[in-house]
Amino acid sequence: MAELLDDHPTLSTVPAAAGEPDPPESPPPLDETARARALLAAQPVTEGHAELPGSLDPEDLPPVRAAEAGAQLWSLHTESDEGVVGTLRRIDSVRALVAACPEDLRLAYTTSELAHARNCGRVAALLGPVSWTALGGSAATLRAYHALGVRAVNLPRFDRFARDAVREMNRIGLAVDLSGADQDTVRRALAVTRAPALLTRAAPEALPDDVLGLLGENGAVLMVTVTDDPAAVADVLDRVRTEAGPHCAGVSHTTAPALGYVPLFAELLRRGWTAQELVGLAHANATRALRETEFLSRANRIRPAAA
Amino acid sequence: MSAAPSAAPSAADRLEEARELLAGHPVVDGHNDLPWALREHVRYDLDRMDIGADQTGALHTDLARLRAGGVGAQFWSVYVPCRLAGDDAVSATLEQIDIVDQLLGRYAADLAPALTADDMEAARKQGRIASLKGAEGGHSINNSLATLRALHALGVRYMTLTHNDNNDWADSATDAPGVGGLSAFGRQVVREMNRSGMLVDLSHVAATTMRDALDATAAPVIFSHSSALAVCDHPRNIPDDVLERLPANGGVAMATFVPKFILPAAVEWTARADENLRAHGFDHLDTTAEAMKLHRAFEEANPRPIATAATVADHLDHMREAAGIDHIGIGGDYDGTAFTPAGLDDVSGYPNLIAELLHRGWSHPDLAKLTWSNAVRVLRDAEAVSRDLTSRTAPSNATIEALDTP
Repeated sequence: MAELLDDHPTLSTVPAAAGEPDPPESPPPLDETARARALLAAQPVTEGHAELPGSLDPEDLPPVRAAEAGAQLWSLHTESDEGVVGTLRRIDSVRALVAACPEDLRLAYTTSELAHARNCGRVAALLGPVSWTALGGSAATLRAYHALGVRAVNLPRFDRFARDAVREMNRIGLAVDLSGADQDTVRRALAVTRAPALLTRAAPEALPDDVLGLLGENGAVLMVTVTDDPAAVADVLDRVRTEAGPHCAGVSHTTAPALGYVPLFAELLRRGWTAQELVGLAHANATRALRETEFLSRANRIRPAAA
Repeated sequence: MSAAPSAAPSAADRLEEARELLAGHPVVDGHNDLPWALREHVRYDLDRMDIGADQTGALHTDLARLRAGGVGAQFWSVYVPCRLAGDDAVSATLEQIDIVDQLLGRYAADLAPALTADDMEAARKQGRIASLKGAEGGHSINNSLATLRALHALGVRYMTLTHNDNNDWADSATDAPGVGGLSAFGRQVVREMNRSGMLVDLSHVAATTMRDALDATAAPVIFSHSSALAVCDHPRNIPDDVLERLPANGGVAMATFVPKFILPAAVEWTARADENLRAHGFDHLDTTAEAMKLHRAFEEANPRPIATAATVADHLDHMREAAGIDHIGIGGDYDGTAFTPAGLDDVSGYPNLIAELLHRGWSHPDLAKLTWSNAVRVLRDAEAVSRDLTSRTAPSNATIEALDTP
């Protein structure tokens, strides 16, 4: 979000959010909660994981989410027996959902469309990740998903197809999502991919420090699930920041949408995270990873397609 | 040579006239199976089978012969056989779509990706061959309307409702009666195709399915590669009562060249050859070495009847009578058939057909409708119906279980 970053207001000048009493003439320094709220108001969160509601009942639209969300990756996860058709159905359902909520959601296929959707006051919806089993070991299916707007594929285990598939994903511009991958798979995938990996539902506690370091070198974004316990989530993010780097922190989704992301961001401010790091956590790291995936693809297009 | 003014034009003159005509109004061909041929011969390895080079003998189709044939638009079939079912059929269809897109990327100077009638006209102006995709058989969507929409999003602009076998919701011309035409879900598929802007293709389907589809559709239909039943009694052809409904529907029947569908003697010959195989304990579709040996022996004893451009012209003359000049076109089925008529041996042959029709007195404006305008119009009309339906109806998520369970 280059343009959002360039003109984001200096935090000390951000007025308190609406509904609070007017500040006195020489205001005292804002507390962490107010600073977090102000930061998130200008820097909406890109969530790594959104799920389709069980049924698309018009009464329930748009689906519930945290007020601070500005973009969402819509999971197209399928069980292994659902096949290609299961994924095509989910793509169709997300499209129908977005079409049903034009004032709220807008499909985005690129990072510039993502920024544009936000500038139009819409929550950007990105399609993906699709499940590894939904590829059926076919590069043609991979390209079909990309042509249908999918922008991430979950790679939970490194099988025979993975090496060629990751290269093809780099070539056409699909992010590699290493959520659920064990450390061996992460190592092997990082040895192949030339684009930053995403972990849309990261579980950093399952990965040793040196793998977090490798993810840091790759520029990967570990999108962490936020709960109603900001201190515990902050512990996880502190480890990501230390072992992988602040450029690797991201947000998956919150299990407490009513609470939103303000308590977590306030906690991180108390722990010494800088505003720049928190902007990265909110959306800039994820956007950077997606943008680098796009750029790599453009540079790679001159190569022939894999069989 | 000094021809007297009253002399009739020679065959060479007519061929020259045909080529000039095709330069202005090139052929829109409804069906070409090059993608499946590339899969079967070289497993999609485009380096091993380069249509930028001469493929005479190996394929009916390459770029130079498409140019020589005056082809201006091609529906490339993304066919998959009925033996692939369920998700396998969908995956294979995606692979077929992908290879067409690879061809378009590789031969971009000659092949122009086309999704709309405007794209077809733009390609004609650029002198490139507008390339569209057509799916051949409802099994390609695995009973899923979301998959149908995905195929449309991937550029598929027609779907033949069946191939040689029935599917769960439509009867094929070459299978025993199943649901008796279109089932309730089948009619929903047709409506969803109307809404998406995907042409309903009635080649390969049973006459009952043709009539049901014409009753259900809100947009013009096509027959991507079918000829006239009245001229040659084969179930792959179109009965007159259906041809006569095309003016009201606005659709186009694209005559095919497959000898065993269009030449009565070839129909009869094929039946005897099949019977010969069965008499020796083989399936008539068997292509094993033993079966082929038997087949060759039969062919030596019984010379294969040869169709010609005149055979195709006989069909077009009749289809023109039954459906009208605004409702006919051409769908050769090249690389989807082992044998082709003499003179229409490969995709370079279309001028011979046009010359034959000139000889029969077809006017230039009539031939321009046959080769180009009718097919472009039908896609444009389907787009208009789609715009209308999309603006006022939601996509259907009907299931075959809900609609077809008694």
